[in-house]
Amino acid sequence: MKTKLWMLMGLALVAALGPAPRAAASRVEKVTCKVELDRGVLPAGASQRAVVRVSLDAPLVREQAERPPVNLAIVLDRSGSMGSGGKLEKAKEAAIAALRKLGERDVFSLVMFDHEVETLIPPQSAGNTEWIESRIHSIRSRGNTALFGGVSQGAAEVRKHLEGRHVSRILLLSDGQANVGPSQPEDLGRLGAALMKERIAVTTIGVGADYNEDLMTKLAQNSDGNTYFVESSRDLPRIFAQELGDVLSVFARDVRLEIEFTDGVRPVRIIGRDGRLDDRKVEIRLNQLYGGQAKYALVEVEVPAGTPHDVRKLASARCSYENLLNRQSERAEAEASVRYSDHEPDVLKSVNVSVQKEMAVNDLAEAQEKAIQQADGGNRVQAAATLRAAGARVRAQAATYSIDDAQLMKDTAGAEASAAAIETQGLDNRSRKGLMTDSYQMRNQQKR
Amino acid sequence: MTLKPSSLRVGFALLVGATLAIGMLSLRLLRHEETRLADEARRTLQGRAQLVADDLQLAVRDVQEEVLNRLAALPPGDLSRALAGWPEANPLVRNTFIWNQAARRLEQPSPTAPTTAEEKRFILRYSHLFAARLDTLLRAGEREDAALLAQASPRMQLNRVAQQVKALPSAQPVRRGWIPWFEGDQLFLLGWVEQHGRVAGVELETAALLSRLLQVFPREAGTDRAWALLDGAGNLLHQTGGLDIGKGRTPAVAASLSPSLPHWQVAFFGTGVPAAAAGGYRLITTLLVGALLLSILAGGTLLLLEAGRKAREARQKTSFVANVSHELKTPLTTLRMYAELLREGRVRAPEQRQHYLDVMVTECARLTRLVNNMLDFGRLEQQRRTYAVEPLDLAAWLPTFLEAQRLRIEEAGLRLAVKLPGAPLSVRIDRDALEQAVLNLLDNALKYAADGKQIEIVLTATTGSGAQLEVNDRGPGVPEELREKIFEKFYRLDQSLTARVPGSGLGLSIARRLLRDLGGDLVCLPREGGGACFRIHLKGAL
Repeated sequence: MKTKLWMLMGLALVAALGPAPRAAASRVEKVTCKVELDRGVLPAGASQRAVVRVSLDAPLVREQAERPPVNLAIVLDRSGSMGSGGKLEKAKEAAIAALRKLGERDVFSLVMFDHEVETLIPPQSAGNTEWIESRIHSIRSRGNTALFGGVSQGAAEVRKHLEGRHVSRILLLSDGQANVGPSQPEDLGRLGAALMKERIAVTTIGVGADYNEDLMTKLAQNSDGNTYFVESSRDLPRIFAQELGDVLSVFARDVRLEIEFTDGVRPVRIIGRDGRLDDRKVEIRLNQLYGGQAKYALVEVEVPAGTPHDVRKLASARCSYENLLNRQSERAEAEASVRYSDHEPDVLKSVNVSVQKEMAVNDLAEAQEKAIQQADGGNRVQAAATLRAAGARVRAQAATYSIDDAQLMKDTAGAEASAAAIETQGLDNRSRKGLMTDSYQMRNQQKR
Repeated sequence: MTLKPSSLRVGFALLVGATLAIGMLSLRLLRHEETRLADEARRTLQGRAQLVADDLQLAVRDVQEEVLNRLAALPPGDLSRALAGWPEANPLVRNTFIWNQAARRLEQPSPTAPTTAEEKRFILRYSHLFAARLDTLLRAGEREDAALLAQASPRMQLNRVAQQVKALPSAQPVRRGWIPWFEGDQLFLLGWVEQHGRVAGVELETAALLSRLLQVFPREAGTDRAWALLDGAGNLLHQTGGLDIGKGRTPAVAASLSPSLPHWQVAFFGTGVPAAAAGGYRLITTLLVGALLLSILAGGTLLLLEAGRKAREARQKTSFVANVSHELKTPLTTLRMYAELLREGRVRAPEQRQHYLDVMVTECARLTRLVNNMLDFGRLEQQRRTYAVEPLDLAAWLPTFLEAQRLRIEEAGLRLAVKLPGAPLSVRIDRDALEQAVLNLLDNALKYAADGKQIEIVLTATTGSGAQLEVNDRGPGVPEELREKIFEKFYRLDQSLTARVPGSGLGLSIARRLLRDLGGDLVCLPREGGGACFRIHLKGAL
């Protein structure tokens, strides 16, 4: 009896100490977490505001074979308006193109809606291309827009394969106002929030100038999906391809980021994202991380006064997530410290340009959203002023810290152009969609 | 016994009246049946709506019970931490809260320092509730529940009874309930459980709940109807079925979702009975009644026509018998008178006697012809007449035949003209039948066209080696509309007994029958310059 126990213990020891060949052979990379400040050195003597950036960097998913399978539901608006201008035809083409990018292990379903909702393609292996394509070709436009029901049905189809390690995604494409079922942005936002808890992300694609961008953005935001504004249906195949690129590269999901601040450091607000914020802690949830793509969170904090040369630990970040390549629950941690100095050039030298850039991006995004609100309220002049001021701030910031970023400059120029347009002719439907979508993409670090 | 047409007509009218009455009655019954079917369909629909509503309610009830059970099972000491994780983990939980009853204040989320944007909105949304009404609602909660339950459907009540059994094991009855809250047209559901002076509560995620409920909703394929889920303000939350539910359309049936989802309802739009089915029913019944009416009408009409025809025939026969009797009587009278004169020997002169005997022979011949005609007619009617068909050269036969008749014709004061073809004209025919037919035509001409002073007989060859024989006169002719009628048996142009010329009405009829039996024909045509032309067509010899 005793010897038996010893043998067992010995075996266990060997197992524990011995090399794990399988794990070593296919060593899977992890998400790296980094915490940085906008400045590594803070001026001593007074309490002040600083910005903490936590970035999560997922490695690129390289081989096709090892990527996690995808559970994709396309929710297609086939209301009457989609029939005009070849929108539906392009959408069908794009859906087929997306289908062809998927493999045998992936699950594909397609729900279409007008005033009622119908599952055209029940969830099945994306390998059945022939049958699926013939079904997609048969779609004809008619009726109204039951957007809520469409997304609900899409979610129901995705749920049929929820327990596996599939990356679940609903791709909603619509060109109109939801007019059957709940249709407020808030309603769809709540649906998105509920779906996020089931690890289902909804990516929304708005086509043309008549859809409700508030609703589409809110739905994407609350479920951590992407959002796109497609002016011409010709761009649909490209957008689908881009979105599918994201979906196919999902590395981690169910990402929880917890940033704890040391005594005396008080978080003031989370910039550009929703999250939980209390006296000592910030919690942010992401539905997924895409391989080869960094996501970050910016938190504005109030840092207490310090004495020169004092080094102070400021924040520690813990990120837990499910690695989809090996299906392990993993964690990544990081810390950030700050040094105080009374020497001005020290402070200037310590400026972190990339954090500054991202602050500028978020500043611009926030200004765009504010300008939209102001323009909606009929205050054109103020809206234009908001955009111009943000533009000026970004340019000044860029000059001060010599930020060289083409996209940021393009966005700034775009915002300034919008300001001029708003002032003279108000915020038209198209620019509103552009601004709204842009600002969400900027805040969410969506690939553009 | 035969029915008189007039009494037939009366009977027929009665029958039609009865049929119409039956038709009307059946239409009324049909309408009644349709209403009954519609009612039936309505009841079925209502039942179905109630079932759907119950299904939805039970689903909501299950969620609610489960949530309350979980709430009740929370450890009282660690309430706050245990509850905090719910909104992040559960799609159906939007917010959680803890209410301190003693202090009458919200413990979580903190009304002064909410940690998320959603908490902030929660506090805003329920500020009124937490400020004033919560206590009352908590007290009223269970009573209200019971009152609402009394109105629920039997199925729901049964379910609730079962749930009460489930709740029994807990030693101390826990106060718990649901508060429906309306804010800006939207329904929010707050569930609460009392725990040691504190109330732990959950706000359900209505959007997620609705999203899941839609899957329970019945499928409907038709394009002329729709099932719909409506909220308290009449907004369309979901529909299945192709009917476009515009604003202000009233549902055919509706079932309430109270108390689980107050003021929401399941509604059916469109017609209860599928229109096609009702139409088909109506069509078939109408067709049946129509067919019945039509067959009665058609049968009656046929009967009437037949009766009319029979009556006409009977009249013709009566007239025929009278005519024939007259025809027979005239020569018989003559014969008897001359025979008596001769028997009494009062006539001495031999010329006189000779003359009397001649007349008697002539009258006998007339009688013979008459009787022959009648016999022929009888045979023809019974189709017992047989023919001896053989080749006959008409060009040779006609002059011989006419020579025998010439005396008779000329005695009647008519001039006989004959036109013959130059060549022999041979046909296959029964010679006796042909002679009889031509004789009948000649008799007719003598009888009716003696004023014309002329009979012309024309024989010509026709195409296909046939022949055509015309008997032309200069009499009064035959009116156009009667040119076919005169060939009917018993028909005479002047049917009155006092007609100037006696006759049986059989001659032409027999002639045509004979010729047709032999493959030829006889027609009556107008003759140019007045008079009638009777034309005989004969088939060729081959």
